[in-house]
Amino acid sequence: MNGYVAGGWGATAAIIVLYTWRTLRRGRVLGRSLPPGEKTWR
Amino acid sequence: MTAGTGNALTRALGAATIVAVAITAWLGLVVSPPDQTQGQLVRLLYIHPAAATACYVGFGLCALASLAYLWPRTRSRRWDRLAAASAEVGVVFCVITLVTGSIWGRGSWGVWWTWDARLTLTALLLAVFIGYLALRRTGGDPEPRAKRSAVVAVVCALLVPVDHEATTWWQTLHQGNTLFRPNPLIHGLQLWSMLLSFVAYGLLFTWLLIHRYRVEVLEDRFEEEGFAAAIAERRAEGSGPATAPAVAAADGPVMEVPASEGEKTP
Repeated sequence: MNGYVAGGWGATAAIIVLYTWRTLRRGRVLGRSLPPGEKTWR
Repeated sequence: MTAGTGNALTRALGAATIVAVAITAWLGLVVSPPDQTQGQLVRLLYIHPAAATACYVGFGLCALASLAYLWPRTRSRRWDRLAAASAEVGVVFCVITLVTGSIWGRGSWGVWWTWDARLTLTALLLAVFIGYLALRRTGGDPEPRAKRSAVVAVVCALLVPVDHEATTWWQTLHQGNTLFRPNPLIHGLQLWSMLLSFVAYGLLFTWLLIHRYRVEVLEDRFEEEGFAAAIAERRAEGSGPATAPAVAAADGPVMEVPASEGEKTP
């Protein structure tokens, strides 16, 4: 595997992991700050 | 309400995504052979085209949801949320497309960037959808903002077919269609690895979209709760002793404002 392949796969993994972490964290923070109510999804 | 945006469905989908991505990486990086002309660089084929397809699907879905919102019979806040979520996920895959394409270009053409029709149009697509997401963050009433955003999304998405057909309509450095042609350019294990990459990206896209859509739902509820709490506090103020005025933040719950600052407001 050469450097370009490693760079391409590495950059893809980094972008996906960062975005996933940000989205899940945003959901968790918002979910916690809302008062307990009906479940929207089970 | 659950603490986050996950449930049994997203957990199952997430597990399937991890398995599909792991098999794609194993096939793409270890098992599949190097190409006769591209050499090891062919391994970028298992991430770049699938990312571009996911980006097109995201922007296309955003346009369809926006059309459903604009149509009076189907108008619902759900379509607006879906448009926002799919545009954001589409932007993420568009960034992956441009980054991996640039790395591939450096390896095979010797340059990180060239003003080729396909590359330029993809960059333009990214720019207009970032603009769309910025437009969504402007203030004002939610309904006019949603209508305005929906019109912009439909116009922006017109670039998707132009970008896709760029290699056919113009002389480009970027190669044309690999799969959907009379004689596909790849066969055997390379072909199966590439097809599996589309499945893996499809699962990943769906998983991200569900979570992002649910974030939109929570944000809406948060905004509603914030306004309701602010109104309740105002009413309590009118009947009780004088306290510091409370205002609802644009994106958050009730905020206390010092009396001196509150008095300055005309």
